[in-house]
Parts: sequence; C-alpha cells; structure tokens
Amino acid sequence: MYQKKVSVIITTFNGSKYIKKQIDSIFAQSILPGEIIVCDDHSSDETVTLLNSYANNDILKIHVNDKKLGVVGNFKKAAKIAKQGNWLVFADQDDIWIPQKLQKLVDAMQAIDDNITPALVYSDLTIIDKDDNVIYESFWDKQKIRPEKINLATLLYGNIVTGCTMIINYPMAEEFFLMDTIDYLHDEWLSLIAYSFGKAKFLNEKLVLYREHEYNVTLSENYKPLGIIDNIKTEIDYLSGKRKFLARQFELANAFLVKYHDKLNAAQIHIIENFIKQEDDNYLLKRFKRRITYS
Amino acid sequence: MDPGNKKPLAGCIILYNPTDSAIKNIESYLDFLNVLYVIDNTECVDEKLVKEIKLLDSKIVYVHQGENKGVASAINTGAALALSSNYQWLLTMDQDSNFLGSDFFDSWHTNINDTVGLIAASYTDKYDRWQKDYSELYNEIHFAVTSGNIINLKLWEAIGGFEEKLFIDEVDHDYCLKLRKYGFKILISKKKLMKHMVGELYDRLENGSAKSKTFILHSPLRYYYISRNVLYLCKKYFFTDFDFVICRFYYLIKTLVKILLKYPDKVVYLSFFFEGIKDFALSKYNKHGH
Repeated sequence: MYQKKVSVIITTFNGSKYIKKQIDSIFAQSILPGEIIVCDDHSSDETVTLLNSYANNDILKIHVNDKKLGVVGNFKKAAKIAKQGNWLVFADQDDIWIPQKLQKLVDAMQAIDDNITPALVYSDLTIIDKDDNVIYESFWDKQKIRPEKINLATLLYGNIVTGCTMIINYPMAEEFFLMDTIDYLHDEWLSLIAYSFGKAKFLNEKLVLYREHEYNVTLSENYKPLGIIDNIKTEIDYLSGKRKFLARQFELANAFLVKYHDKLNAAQIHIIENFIKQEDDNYLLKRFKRRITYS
Repeated sequence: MDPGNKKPLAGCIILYNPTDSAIKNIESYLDFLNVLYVIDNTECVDEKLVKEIKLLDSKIVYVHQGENKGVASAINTGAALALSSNYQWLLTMDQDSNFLGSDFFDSWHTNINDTVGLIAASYTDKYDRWQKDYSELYNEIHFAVTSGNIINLKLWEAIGGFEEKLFIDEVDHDYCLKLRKYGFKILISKKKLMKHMVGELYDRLENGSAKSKTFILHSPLRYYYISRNVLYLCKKYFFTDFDFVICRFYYLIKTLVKILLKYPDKVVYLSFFFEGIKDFALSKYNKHGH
C-alpha cells in the first residue's frame, strides 16, 4: 500500500497526433495514478477534442488555457491544480510509457521520501521515431551519461534529467511553485535542487519511449543530430569567441545561486561559484575542465 | 464513450492447491488486464508452478497468504491492492475458470454507471427466471457466482467488502445480497462467455441407472460450509429478502436429500453437513475447526 497518491501532469500543445497513445499508455499502467491533470496550452488542433473523448473517465481532468503559458508555465499550472500533497509525475504529450513505469517510480520514491526534503527520481529512456521505431535503445548510453557519476559539480555542465521520466515529492513540488523564472526548463532547475539540498535517485531502466520528431516542443540541442560540417562550424564559432561555450549553463548556475544561496551549504556554494568563475576562461580550458569533472 | 477508450482493469485470481490448468486459464484473460494479483491460499506451495505463473508476464503480482484464509479474505486482499493502485474495477477469478475469447472484455464497460456493482460473464446459455433485460448484451440478475465477475471497487469499499467469516461457500450470494440491499445492480452477459469447472463431475453410471446423469461433487468439507453458511444467510436476510431465504432453504433440503440418495460415502458427507448446522447454532464461523 502506498502512503501517497500520484498525480500525473501532462502539458499539451497541438499534440493531436500522439496524445492518444500517451494517455492510453498511462491507463495501461500496472498501478494507476489518482488523477491525470492535462493542461492544454491553447492548442489550435484537435488535441482537446481527443482528450474530451475520455471525458467520462474519473481520473482524467482537462484544463484549457485561455492564453499560451509556455511549457514550464503550463507544467507549473498543472502542478498547482494537482491534489495537494500528491507525488507528481511529469508526462510529455507524445511519448509512450512502459506499463511498469509508475510502479517503479513510486516504489523508488516511497523509499526516499521523508515529507520534508525535496526529492526527485528519474530514469533512462528509449528514443523512438514518429512510427514507434526505436532510434536509440538507451538515451544514457548514446549520450555517454553515467548517472552514478552525477553530482552537483557535473550537473552544472549540463542537465541529464529528462522531465518525462521524473517523479517528485510534495516538498519538491513546492520548490517548483517557487520557480520564478521561465527562462530555464523545469527538469534542469529541479535536478539542481535534488542534487544540492534535496535528494536524487535514478533508475537505470528505460521507462519511457521518448518520441523524437519534427514537432517536438522542447528538443535539447544536445541530441539534435548534427552533421560533421555543422559540428566543425560550431567548433569554429566557439574558438573564435563568436559563440560562448556553456553560456546558458552559466546563466542557470547564477540564477540558481541567487535563488538558493541561503539553502545551500558552504561546499555547494563553493562548487557553484567555482563553476561560474570559469565563465571567461578560454574555450579549450572549459572543455578540458568539463572533461575532468565528468571522469 | 469512445469504444476505443477502455476502462483500466485489474484482476485477481485465488489459488488453492492449483494444478497446471491454472496457467492455461490465466492465459485466457491476462492480455486484457493491466495487472493480475495472484492470491495464493495454499499452505505448502508448489514452487515450480508458482515460478511458472510469475514468469507469465511482468504484470503478475504474486501474494502468498501464508495459510488458507478463505475465498472472501483472498478477494478482499486483491481488491484492497487494486484500490490502493487506484483501479475502479477488478476481475475476480478462481483457478478453474477460463474465458472463451475477448467478448467480455470488449463489452463489459459499455452502458454501465456508478450504480452497477458487479458485471458477470455467464457460463451457461440458459437464462434463469430472475433475469431481466438491461442492455443489448447484458441482463440484470439477482446473483452471480464468484468467478468471472468484474466488481466495482468503490462499491466494494462502501458496502464493506466480502464477508470473511463465511470463508468459502455463499460468499458470492452474500455479496450480491448486500449490493442489492443498497440498490446497486448486478449484470450478467446474455451470451455464454466463460467455462467454469465447479467441483468434480461425478458419473453415476456404475449404479446401473438407465440415464447417465452427471452431477457436481464437492469435497465433503464443502458441505460443512454450505449448510452453515446457507443457514447464516437465511437468518441474515430473513426480513430483507424472503424470496431468497425460501430458495436457499429449499436448496439445502435438496442437497440433504441428494446426499442421502446418490452420494458415495454418505456418512462422511452427512457428518460434515450436520457439523455445519451445529456450528451455525453455536454461531461458530471462520475456518472449519478453528
């Protein structure tokens, strides 16, 4: 028996193509969520009509925004609508969950949630294309991510937690409510909390079939497939100083430090300050530092 | 409702000294469930068989009760598990039943609402006199047997679940009576959708009778539960459902006559039958001998 109920939060925007598969895969879970909150960000396609075909289902609750809030703002709205105290599980609009996903996330969260410390559990995923064919079996293998090596210092160089694999407890949800910027994604923000004054746990299992296609709303630059020529172009831009390496990461680290200075301990502040200090370092030096931090 | 949007369904199967046929039976409906709770009442489990069952699919959750706690307690365990995982509907099965195709799972969720407490898959083509038309594929009925039913868990919780002290027989009748007492409906498929083995078929050919009549033969201990629990229900529902009381009392007399006339080992069967009556008089319930 679980001490908490689970709310799945989904944000949709013109997602009519795959939303049914996503919702059906949630209804096929081995444990069901207490509620599924869908916030539609003012879609102009059939998303809402499709969602309404589930209308006499007690679990699914649909909200349509009057004006566009953006991905993070919309997720925040959904999180606030969810029943207070529930664990929150994030879902995208075009993925497929494997049937044991909720069960595994809930079991893991059960083990670490103390009702005080913000906690986050996440997992690996499989990348599929528009016809459900597997492109990459493991996102982590493909990105050479070793989650057991992740800590605050490594996380500052780039987020590895994918929103659609996350479950968070209520104290973490409260931190999410307080996230006052929409310049950053909720997953990168919450993972910094988890790996600093919160708790983080990963499951080395692929619990989501993540769909990569032309309509993706958030597609991280990191795994947008780039050609060799594009790669060389980027390298030249970095070397010539035309593009700043890790620019966004420095902004994120800064914003995070400002917001949570009081909650972080001396060592954590030191790690973040050290990271920010290298902002004006040479590109090659930064790359080198990133490399040694990871290994 | 869009027929493509099926309602999520959990299932539970109660095992007691199961044989290999349990696996075949499970396979006839496993595909239609989100999760199957296998509640094992067996004292000394057959490890090999249990392993085979667990390996059928990752959606199987095996629960060993440790001792035989009876059918009612086992279903309640399954229902509590399903409810805590937010399911609203639970398929209850015994180890001797299987489904004939997918008709039941394609149709049970159409035309139902919160006043429906139980939807049963019929294991016979014959309608009894209790039935009345409900929808194209389903009739309303007064009683259903414990296997092959989808129960509404919200109502299960509201009416206090299955009566655990009855242990085995009449658990289904008690549940249906309770549902109807509060005004909830019981539905049964018009078509025969499942196969159910009740007890052992006993062939009376060797007596040399002209007609080869087969009838159901339970183990003698079951007659203890039958007599005790039927009398308990007759007492409990004497004022709320007198029709039922008359029917079941008649059934009890019929059973007694049948034992006297047809059964082998009459003395054993009769002693259990009368022990049941004795324990009813003493208000002794739960498991036999406890």
